[in-house]
Amino acid sequence: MLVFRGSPKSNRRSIRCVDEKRRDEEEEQHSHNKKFHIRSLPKGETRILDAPRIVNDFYMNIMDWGKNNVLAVALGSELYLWDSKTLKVEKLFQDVENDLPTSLAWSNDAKLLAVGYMSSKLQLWDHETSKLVRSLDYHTDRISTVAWNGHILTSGSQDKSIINHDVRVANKLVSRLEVHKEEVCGLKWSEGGKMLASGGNENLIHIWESSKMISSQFLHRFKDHCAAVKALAWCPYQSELLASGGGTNDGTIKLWNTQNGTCIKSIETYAQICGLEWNRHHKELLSGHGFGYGGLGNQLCLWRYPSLTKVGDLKRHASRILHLSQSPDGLTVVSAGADETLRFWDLFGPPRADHTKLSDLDGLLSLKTSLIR
Amino acid sequence: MPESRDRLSRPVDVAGIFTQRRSNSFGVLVDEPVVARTLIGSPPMLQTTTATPTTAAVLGTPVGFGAAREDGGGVRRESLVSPRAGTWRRESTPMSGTTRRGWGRGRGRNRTTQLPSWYPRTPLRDVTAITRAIERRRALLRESGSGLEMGSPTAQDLGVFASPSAAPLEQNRYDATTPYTAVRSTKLFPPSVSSVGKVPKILRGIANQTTGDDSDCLTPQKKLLNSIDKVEKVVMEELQKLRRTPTAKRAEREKRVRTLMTMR
Repeated sequence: MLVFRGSPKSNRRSIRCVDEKRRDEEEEQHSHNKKFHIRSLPKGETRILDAPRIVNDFYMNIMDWGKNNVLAVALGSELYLWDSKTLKVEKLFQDVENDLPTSLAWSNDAKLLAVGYMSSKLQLWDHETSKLVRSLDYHTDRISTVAWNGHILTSGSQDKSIINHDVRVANKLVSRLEVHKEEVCGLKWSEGGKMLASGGNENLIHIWESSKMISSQFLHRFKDHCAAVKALAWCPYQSELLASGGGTNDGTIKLWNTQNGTCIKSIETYAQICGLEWNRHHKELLSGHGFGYGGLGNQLCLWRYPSLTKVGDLKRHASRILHLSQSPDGLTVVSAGADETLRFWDLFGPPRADHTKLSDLDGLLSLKTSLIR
Repeated sequence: MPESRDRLSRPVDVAGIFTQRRSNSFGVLVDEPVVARTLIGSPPMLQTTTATPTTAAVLGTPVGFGAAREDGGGVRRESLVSPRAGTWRRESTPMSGTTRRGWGRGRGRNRTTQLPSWYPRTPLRDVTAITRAIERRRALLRESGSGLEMGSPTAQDLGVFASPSAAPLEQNRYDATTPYTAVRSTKLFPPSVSSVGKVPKILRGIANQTTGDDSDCLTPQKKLLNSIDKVEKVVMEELQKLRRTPTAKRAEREKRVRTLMTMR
């Protein structure tokens, strides 16, 4: 007769209460995670490797970390491989003619290593067999940068041209782009391989579409930089967003929307930018610096995206940083300096966990939603 | 702008330098890259052209930051070409204002590495521990070294009783020390307790004055003040000890007895 149910109003109230509490708890969790992102940078590097005879030249790109966890670095005329898992060092080759490797890049599957030289020759080395697979001689001057897009190998040279090679077939030149007025310092393919960004010593950036490259017609030309553009990096979480960094005279990091061809943001760093790396785990961008004004050189700077406010900087290199690369798992960054060291930094972690889900323990311990009153 | 040769650290107007550089650079962009760079090419590619100096405004100081080093294997071809040979090598030379003077890296070492010359260099050898140790030692030396440097000239000042012609290192340091040394010279001799008691107060006052100056002046001065305080304490203690010895007490008693006897 007496239905033990409590009045509908009071029932509703209590449920709303619980909902509110749950919502508050979620917000707290969310803000807690946000606080977690006000990160404390590590005080220093986790590892330092000796790099004797590394060439102190901005216009080279002699370090690359492949998906096979092997870091390739050219020291003088010798090429060394360092396995980050086994910590073993292997000498791949020493050039017989004492020619200097000036650029290198692992293929996307890390089976091949492309090496460009001061003498303009381009070689492909097989990592498994440690043998020279192919030699490509299309350039007439130093090859300053190489980049892979699947089976296409793109090389940029001091002879101002960009050449696309198809490595599946011997001596297959797909296209030659002669648009830059000076040495091509930087080359980066976008994540999907649809667009190529090229930076030149004449301070220009060209954006190319892979489908339209044969006609030598670029999609965009960016003129905003005042110095050589070597540092280029495509954003992993926003396709068509490109970050570029200028040389000593420029010192700015610029974000570009390559769809519209506009510059979204530009910040001053007052130092030569030799490399840019996006943090795939948190929305951040890391820049490596060479010569700088007011003591702002020789350091790594971490910037929050999209505000590009500085999170922090690490000044441990004794002289300018020349190259920047990141591990395949995206947690470690390596910087090569003119002080003949390779320094490893665990900057980009911790790997991002799904923070919308409460862990079981947290659910149990949360006082607000305890079931037992 | 010519670099000043005194060792004063002046605040660098970074933004100003940049706008100046950027406005200058437009003239350089139009220049054709000089063919002299082919000096760097491998022998088959060599062309016979001479280097023509281009606008030097952009290139700044010709001192390459480690660029003149010869590497062990091949020949460092960059070192053969003068930096003024072409604007195409812009990024290889630091601009004036970007290099740090007195960084100490080049002192007695012509290598760019921080490792000592006796250390065996192996490609990609893990040198974490030794590099950290070297950096730690260097940081310690820097701290203690700056204190010592500060100490010696001002100690001289003390000995000479703060003659204004004493050679100080820097303007602001000199200003800070002379009033202090002048005070010290008058108050130290003779060391009556009352006047010595005032000296610490005066020292504190001067220390507070100098907090307005740049921070690297403060530490060596503080160190100096601390050491002088220590000396003062020790001297006073010695005097007290002398007064407290049995012979001194006996002598004093004798004196008092004699005066009383004369008054009889």
